[in-house]
Amino acid sequence: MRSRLRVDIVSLASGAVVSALGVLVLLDRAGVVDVSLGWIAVALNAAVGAIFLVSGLGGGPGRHD
Amino acid sequence: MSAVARRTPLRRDTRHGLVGGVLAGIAARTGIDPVLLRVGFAILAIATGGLALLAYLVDWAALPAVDGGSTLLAHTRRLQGRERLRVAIGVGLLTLAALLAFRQLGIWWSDAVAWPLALAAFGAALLWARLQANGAGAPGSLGAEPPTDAGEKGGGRAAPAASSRFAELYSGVFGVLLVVGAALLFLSSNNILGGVRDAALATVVAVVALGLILAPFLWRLGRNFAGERAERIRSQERAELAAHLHDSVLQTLTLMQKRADDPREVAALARRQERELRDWLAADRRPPADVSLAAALREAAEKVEDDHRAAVEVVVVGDCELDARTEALLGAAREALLNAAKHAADPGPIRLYAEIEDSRIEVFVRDRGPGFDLEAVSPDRRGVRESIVGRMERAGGEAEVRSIASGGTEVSLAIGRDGTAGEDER
Amino acid sequence: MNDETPNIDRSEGNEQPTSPESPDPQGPPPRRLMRSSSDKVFFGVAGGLGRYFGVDPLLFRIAFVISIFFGGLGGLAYGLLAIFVPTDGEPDRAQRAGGRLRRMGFWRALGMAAVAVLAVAGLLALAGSAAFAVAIGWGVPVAIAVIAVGALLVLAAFRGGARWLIAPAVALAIGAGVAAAADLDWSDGIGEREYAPLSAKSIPADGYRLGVGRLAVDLRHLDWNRKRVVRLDVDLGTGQADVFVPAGVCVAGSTHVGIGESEVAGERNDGVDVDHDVGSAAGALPRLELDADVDIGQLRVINSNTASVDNPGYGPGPFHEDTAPLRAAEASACAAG
Repeated sequence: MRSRLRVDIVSLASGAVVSALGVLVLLDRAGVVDVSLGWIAVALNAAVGAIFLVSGLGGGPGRHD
Repeated sequence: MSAVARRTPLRRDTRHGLVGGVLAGIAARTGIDPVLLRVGFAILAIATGGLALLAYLVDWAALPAVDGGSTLLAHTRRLQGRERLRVAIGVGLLTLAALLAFRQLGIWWSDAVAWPLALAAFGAALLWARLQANGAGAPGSLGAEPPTDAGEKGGGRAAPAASSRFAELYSGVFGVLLVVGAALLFLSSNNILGGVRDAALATVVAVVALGLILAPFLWRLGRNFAGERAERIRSQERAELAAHLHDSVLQTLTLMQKRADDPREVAALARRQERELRDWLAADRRPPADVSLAAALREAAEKVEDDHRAAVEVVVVGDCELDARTEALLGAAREALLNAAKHAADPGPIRLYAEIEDSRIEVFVRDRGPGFDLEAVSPDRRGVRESIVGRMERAGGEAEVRSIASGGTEVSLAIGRDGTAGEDER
Repeated sequence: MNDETPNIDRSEGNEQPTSPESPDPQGPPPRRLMRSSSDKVFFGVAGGLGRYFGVDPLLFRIAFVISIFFGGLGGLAYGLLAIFVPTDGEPDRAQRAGGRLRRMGFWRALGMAAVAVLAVAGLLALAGSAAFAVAIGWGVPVAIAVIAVGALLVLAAFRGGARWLIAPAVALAIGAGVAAAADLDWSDGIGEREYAPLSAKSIPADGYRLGVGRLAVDLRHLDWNRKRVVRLDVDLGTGQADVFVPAGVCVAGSTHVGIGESEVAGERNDGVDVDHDVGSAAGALPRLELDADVDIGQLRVINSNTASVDNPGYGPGPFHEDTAPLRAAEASACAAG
């Protein structure tokens, strides 16, 4: 078992969110899905909102709880 | 191991956790190797397309940490300032995303209806949030409703009551404008403003908007009003108290300083003031002295205290109404007290103890005087003794005067309430 | 005798709230402008202004809010006032910020402002670049880059975090996302293209295409005899497309503008998904069979012998306020057999 890692929750969540957006764009460009302006609005709002939320809750650098 | 695990509640193990300790906590409780859990969770996350991640987040927010940290939701309440603003913005954007998603899916009113509604809801939420913040008196922190209250700071309550009320009304101006704007947007995009036949709908919308705007203010006003009235009553009472203290206690204290060379006088003054203050404090709760035997006994004792600078301790158990028989008892008790006050050499307290039962009343008056021999009393005392014993016997009760071994005199009076000679029921 | 009468106010107190005309009935207005610590929503700027000028602060609040809708200058003014005007109560965050700014001097504050502006400009540039790259056809590489940056953030999280990377990453994602969703297609080139074919044979089979810019096709040099039917395909990603035909030519076919406006034969429309279909004119001669597609921008079909290709705006023809004559002309041109 590892002892307490200094995981920066905010960076983690933001990275995950950005990667998810990248995957969405990749799927659109590759022709798998067609993302319309309406859906990209949903995705972008949700992404930025989640980042703000986590940064507000996650607190200072490297904080848990 | 499993028995122990089942008893402890599920908590996040932040000491051993990678991210939030949810899986580590589950591992600690069930005894499964956390590595296995993590691999399994990863597979589950991919299989469910990310829903498992959602479950993880929910657990993270809801479960408390093992080292005593509070849950995330409780933590939210403690946030201040900049962090709270971010949470508010985040939740606001997420809500907007959800709204847009519904719109994309077709679960939507027309644009002309839904967006004004959303704006109006946001404005109303702002207004109500200001209400909460001002009511709780939390200056400098955002309103008590984080999700939609982005960027607002509670107005300070340092102002006097009148102008703060209007500061609160005006401080809702953004909420007001939002609601008004929403109403106008609704009306214009539905082409209602032009049509006369839709005047009814326009009126309804206007009334609803006004209602939304004014509701918190009116509620606030009502609450403030009651609060102010309570405050006014309290300050009036305080003024009365101050006046009373000034008139009575301060005067007495001044008098006592002037008579400081006479200890008995000072003691008497103090006792009188103490009694008076107690009476004043318990003003509503005591029945008047003309209907209650207990009150009458106390009043008699007080008179004796005042007139003879004596100290009388009164203990009365039970109570009853005054009638002819108790009148006699009262008279006899008064005589006994007077007697004790006049002739008791030792200025220690005279004690009056009365037991008022359903069928019988007993009163004892004890003093610490040198006592007197019934036979060898002075004529003065004998006369008084007559007045005590004789009075009781004439009324159908009995009285006894005796000396106490420790020094002093005890006068005991007894009378039955229903005409009997007062049998001892004990 | 020591007689210290406590100062008791035995007045009855207010039964009614004071009238709205005098929210702050305290003596003459102060000589120096200060922010109000009692009458405040955010920082008491409006309250202080109202008190100083002796008017209702609500006027200032409304003015600030309205100015936001008209360019936001009021917001900037509010911020400056909040920072540089002291408050009459306890010094609050804005006042402390103002103190710090004042202490650090004009140039340093200006420098900080410049850095902030640069940062914002940088983010916008990132987003724009990502959008541009996607538009000209590099969508897949851009997407992979965005995923990579996200993964980088995740990895950095385990080594103490890299918060500074978040804003640029999000900017990239936003630019790429919007460009991908809007299906911006600038892959056909950028610039200003003018075509003036002299004969129908020199019109390319798949028409004239442009990614972004202005595309002008002048068909007035063709030989429009009475039996002429000219087919034209026009495809523009973003920008402005103008097609010129002589007056008296019936304009038929279908046109589509994704977002923007179109004016075809006197029919002017704008908005999203602007389509114009003239199906019933089959048979009219001479006519133009037009298949025009503009993703974002403006499409004009100009029936005029005299309009200049470079600047068709003035004179008879398009953007003439009254489109009725144009529609009448189209109707008569398409009615002819």
